[in-house]
Amino acid sequence: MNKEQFLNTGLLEQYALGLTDAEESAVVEQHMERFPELRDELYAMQEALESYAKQYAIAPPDGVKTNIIQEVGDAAPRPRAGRGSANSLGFTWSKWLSYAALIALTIGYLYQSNRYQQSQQELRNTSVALRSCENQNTALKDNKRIYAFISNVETKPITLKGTSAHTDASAIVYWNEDSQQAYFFASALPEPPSNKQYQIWADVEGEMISIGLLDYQTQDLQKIDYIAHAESLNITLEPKGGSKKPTVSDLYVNAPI
Amino acid sequence: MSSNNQHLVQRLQSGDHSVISTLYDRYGDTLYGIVLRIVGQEDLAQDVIQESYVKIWKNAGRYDATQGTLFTWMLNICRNTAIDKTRSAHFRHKKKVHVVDDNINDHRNFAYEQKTDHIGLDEEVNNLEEKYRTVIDLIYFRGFTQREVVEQLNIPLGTVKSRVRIALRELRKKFLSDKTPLVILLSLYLI
Repeated sequence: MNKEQFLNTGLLEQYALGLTDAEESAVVEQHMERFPELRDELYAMQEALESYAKQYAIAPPDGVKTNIIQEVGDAAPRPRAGRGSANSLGFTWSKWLSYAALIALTIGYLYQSNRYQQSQQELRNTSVALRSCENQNTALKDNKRIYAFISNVETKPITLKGTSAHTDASAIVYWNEDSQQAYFFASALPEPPSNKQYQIWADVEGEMISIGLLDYQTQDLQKIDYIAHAESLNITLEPKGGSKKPTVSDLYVNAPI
Repeated sequence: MSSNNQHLVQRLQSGDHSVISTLYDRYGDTLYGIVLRIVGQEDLAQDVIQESYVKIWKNAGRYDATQGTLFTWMLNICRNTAIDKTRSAHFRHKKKVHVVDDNINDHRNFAYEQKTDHIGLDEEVNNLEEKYRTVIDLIYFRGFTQREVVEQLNIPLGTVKSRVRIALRELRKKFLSDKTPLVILLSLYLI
């Protein structure tokens, strides 16, 4: 589906309201990935709904905020400072005993809650460390996958050469017809101005089809769409967010497949 | 999404406690207004808000900005908590019947609608035509599915879907163009 066809389905509106099922959601997310401006559209719709909801805003009583902050701030209740001592003068044994028991309990409680807070802190630290390990692990897996892809015998490196206006520019695309995957590597493209972005196009029977918007900052290989029967690959400089049709005057590099 | 929100998300997901206060100040009133409309009782609504904010804090890692705005995600948590509460309180069914009887036919009967003291609220809300407003209110505020809306209003699914689309288009127009006339007036004044 192209962007207009997709917008006509009304799926984006349904998605904005959380009405799509898993399959439909996947379709929407796929299109937002392909046309980033659709994501802005989604945000705009949800922001409009938010403004609409604001008209019905009612302030809850003050206590609610205090409760939330307390609950979020510390799971363990803080022990309160002891109140003033009893006024009665005649201490009996039973009173002494109950005070002693109270003090013992308080000390025990303070000790326990201190230990509890310590272990909570440790738990938090551990989960932060775990999260960072998980992130590294995914990054590693990604790299392994890319490495396997490049070293695959079926993967063809295609060097895109600079056009006459940009003779110094070049880029590499790794193209695999077998697994139908493609990756891009910006070996030597000049830095684009901040309002522009490189876009890569595949020529299929004379029609230019966008197969990816390139993030200039990233040092890694970037996944781009694979398109069967592509005859050539072309990279143009487009306004940020990409264009529907390539700006031919800003063609930087290209190569036949 | 605005960079301001990105900053909030970052604080929330990095475990910065102080963000809860900011999120409460920014969205608490709006969320409370909606929750109150679902559960209908102030003390219950306060419980729901409290529970929801703790959930928001605990599940911060699950929020994914590519799938929508932070407010939408927070609202989902509040709405689900509210619906669970009403279900456990055995009055969801009763409430729904109540919705058909009064509120759909006469929107002004929403128990708390009149409590808002925004000036000109009625005019503002009336900008969205009744039939679109009903659909949006049921889905967005009360968490109805489209099927439930079909049953509730006794209209075909296709109609519900097209009303959703038109309602969103109208809301976008309304809330994006809100500021334009002011700007024009101001620039005219300056000339």
